[in-house]
Amino acid sequence: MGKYILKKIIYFFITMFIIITATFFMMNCMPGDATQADTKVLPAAVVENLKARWGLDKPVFERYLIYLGNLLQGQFGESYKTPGMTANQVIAERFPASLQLGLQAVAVGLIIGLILGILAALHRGRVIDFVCIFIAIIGVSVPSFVFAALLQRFAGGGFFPIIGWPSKGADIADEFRYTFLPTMSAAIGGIATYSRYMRSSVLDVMGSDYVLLAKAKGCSRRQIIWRHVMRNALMPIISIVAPQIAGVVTGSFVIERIFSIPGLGRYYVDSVNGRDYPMIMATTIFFAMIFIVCMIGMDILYAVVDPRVRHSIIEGKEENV
Amino acid sequence: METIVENEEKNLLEVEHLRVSFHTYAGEVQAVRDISYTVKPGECLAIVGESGSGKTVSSKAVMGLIEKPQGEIKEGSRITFDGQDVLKFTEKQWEKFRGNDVAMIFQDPMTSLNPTTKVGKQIVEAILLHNKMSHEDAAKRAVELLRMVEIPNPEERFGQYPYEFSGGMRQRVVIAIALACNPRLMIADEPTTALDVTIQAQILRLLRKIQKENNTAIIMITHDLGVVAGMADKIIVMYSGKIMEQGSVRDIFYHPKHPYTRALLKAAPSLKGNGKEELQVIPGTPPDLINPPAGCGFSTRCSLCLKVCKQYPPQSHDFGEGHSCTCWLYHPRTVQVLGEEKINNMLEEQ
Amino acid sequence: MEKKMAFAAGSGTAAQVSDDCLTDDLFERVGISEQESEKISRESVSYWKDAMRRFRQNKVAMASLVILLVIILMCIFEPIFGPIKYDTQDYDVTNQGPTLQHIFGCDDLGRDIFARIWVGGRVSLAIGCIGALVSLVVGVIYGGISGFCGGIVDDIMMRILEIIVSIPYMVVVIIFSLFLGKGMGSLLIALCVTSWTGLARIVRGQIIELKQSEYVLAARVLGTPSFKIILKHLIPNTMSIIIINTTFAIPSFIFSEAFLSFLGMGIQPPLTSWGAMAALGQQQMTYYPHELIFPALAISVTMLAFNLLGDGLRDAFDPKLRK
Repeated sequence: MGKYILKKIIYFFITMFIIITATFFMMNCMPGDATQADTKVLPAAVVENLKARWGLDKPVFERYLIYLGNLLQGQFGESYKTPGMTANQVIAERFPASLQLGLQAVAVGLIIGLILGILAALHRGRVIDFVCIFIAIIGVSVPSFVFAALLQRFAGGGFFPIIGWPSKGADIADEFRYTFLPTMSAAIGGIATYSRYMRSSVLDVMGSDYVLLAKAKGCSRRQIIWRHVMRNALMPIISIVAPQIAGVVTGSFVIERIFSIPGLGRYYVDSVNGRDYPMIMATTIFFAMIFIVCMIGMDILYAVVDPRVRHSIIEGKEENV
Repeated sequence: METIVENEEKNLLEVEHLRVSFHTYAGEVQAVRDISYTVKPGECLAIVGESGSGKTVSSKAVMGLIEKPQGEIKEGSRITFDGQDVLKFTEKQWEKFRGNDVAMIFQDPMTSLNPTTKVGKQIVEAILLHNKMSHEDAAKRAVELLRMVEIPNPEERFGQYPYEFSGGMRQRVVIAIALACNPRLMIADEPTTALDVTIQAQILRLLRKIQKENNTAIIMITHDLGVVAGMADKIIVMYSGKIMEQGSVRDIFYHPKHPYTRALLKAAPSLKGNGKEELQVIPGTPPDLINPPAGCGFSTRCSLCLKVCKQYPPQSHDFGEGHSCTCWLYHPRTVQVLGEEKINNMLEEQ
Repeated sequence: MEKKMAFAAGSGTAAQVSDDCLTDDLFERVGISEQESEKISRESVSYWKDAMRRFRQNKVAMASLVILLVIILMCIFEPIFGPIKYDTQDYDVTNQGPTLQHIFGCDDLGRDIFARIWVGGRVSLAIGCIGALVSLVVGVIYGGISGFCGGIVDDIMMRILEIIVSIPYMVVVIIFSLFLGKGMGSLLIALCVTSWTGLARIVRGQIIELKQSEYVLAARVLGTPSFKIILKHLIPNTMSIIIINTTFAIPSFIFSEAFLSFLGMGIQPPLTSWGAMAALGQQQMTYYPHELIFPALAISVTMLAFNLLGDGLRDAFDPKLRK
């Protein structure tokens, strides 16, 4: 098990290294640099000065090494647009909102999605099943920005503000008022995905031989569901939740924009549109890091809860799982 | 439990005119078409037939494991266990009945244990479902059961997961679960099909031991005549959802009456003989049970088939001592028309 | 009495056959007629025929197919024959709601939304289809090679794939579209960079499973050359999974395009797409909801149809249901 985790950590560093390298050289191939970030044409002397300040006068490879060194010390670089503001500060300021939105969305999506999926599977062919299928199919067919706009239009304006985010230290009511609509908009995709997977997972387990055996032992339906179905049906869900969590935490770009949430996603989109390369690079690397950490975490969690996976890891053949 | 001894001769299980259908998109599949049989306490009944002959379905009906609404037990069917009409059971009564009075062993031990629950816990669960005892006592009993099914190091094995067991060991665990509440009847649905031949023999020996020691009746479902030879008291041969022939092991192996049984026995390889004679095959495939044939189910594959076999269903003929056969060849009219000698010649020739 | 009734009910025609019916000629021996014993009472159908039959029975999937065909035909022909051009600006009708002349209303520059929907649909559908096709080709080749070669080739290829997968999808797409510049071509490339990985994995798994199957082993023992095994066994048996996957890939491309265009990183004016139209409409949502509703509806209906079509195909092809 320790070896498995160690292997995952080594993977993490290799993957991060490749991502950093790729992003760095791609950004360096971009037309324009810090000196052209403004629309004004700057005098040559100022350009020289700026270049020296950003280290742009050095050869590419040297800059790459310097960048790597800085990253190792946890320094993500400095913004072109707002000089003096380091990427670390921006991330520290912006990320909490994204994280909160992401976690809330995943939590809501999981709770509603799983319950819906379980109910649908247990009442196959009944009304609740069709409701679940309907929600699942609508959830994957309607883009979240359409949901967001519909929620703003029909639920927003009164108790729920159309845009905005609770300021630091807001009371619980305000937290709820401001975060409800964005959370629901971001959660709808998750609800659809989880309910769909959970439904088929539960149905799979319900049709398995060991459930039949449990029935033959004399277990009641309730005992079968709680003791045998739930645990086994939830296992495969873990593997789809991982990319979802990471995706929601890092990728609520659209929702943050529609609801004017001061999150990192919105800032990222703004930096891309404003070609603030150091910030793009920093945020990309940060997103990738979060994403990979989530995936590895889920892999390890999977191994902890499922004895079969743990077993095959110990046997050294986790690729086949 | 004590009452069985007094009523030694009473039937433990009576199945009468059982008919089971499954509703599929293509139509109603009549998987079991009117079968009747009985099992006495401590007796071993073998149900033999090819896949799709309805043997598994008929035993699942006894356990109440026919899934509605696809599966349907037809009106007029009767299953009586120890005097109780089980088809009239409520869900609560079924739960008390399953595992306690009747236990079942399934075909594939690799998939019939819950993969994420420790083996011991799965046995303990079965014990606690029907017995009021402390968790510790149940655990002790579970270890005892593991020992009874001859699993080495039962204390250690108790805390392991199914993936740590081989196929044969898993089947032993399944048997231990079945034994958890001392059932009076055990239904073993091809318990050895998925196992190696050497393991098969071990499992069969184990089942026989249990049958003797606990006086448990066993219904053994199999497609392998060899499996039942040393074990069964009575054999039922099923085909296309009907009983073709039933009788004692002796009757079936040495005096088979039905052309199907005879063909089946000839199709089985034998150690006797010089090894030069060809194995006989039964040509063709079983009939479609969505539109079952009007006459005998075996008529399309029977080399002795008469015209009448295709038009009218045959009736059962009793040869005494529980040996009966459902075939037109033994009908008095056939004997009258063809003469006994000719029939014997035909059977000879088959 | 009760028992007798049950018997009669239970056995149907199996009840007594009166001796009168049993004329002598009925006892003629017929034995086995070759045809009859081998005759399988239900007509045997090939896998594909059976799948198609089941698919045609699926009303929802068939309806989705029809809706998609209508949308595709409209996208092809409306911009050619339609009365109003998609980029004609008419400042008299800016932000006008649906009228007889402009049945979906007009946008903030007075352009007819109905005409724009079909032009935008061309872009969205083209991106969906081309993207799905590219990721299909790349995914099948990559997964096929990896699975077929096995060993160290497989190992290396899978490690590379894992690295690609471990970067958030949207971030990759954004970085690439930034790198390649804005426009439909670069958008397509950006979308395709990571989208093939899912299919590659599935194809690899399928190939490995098939490689170990007995019938491929049998073909090998008979000395069938590799390319023939691939052609005759591996491709037909992975086909259904590839078709299903591609059907689901198309809507996910349309989705991603819509998101990118919504964020202003996708299709640039004067060209438009459903996502770009929805982005414009979203800004006008409060006062002129029709500008969001129609493009959103176009996306949603198309997505819905593709998803339902994919579900239908999966049900039709799923061998587990085949009985």
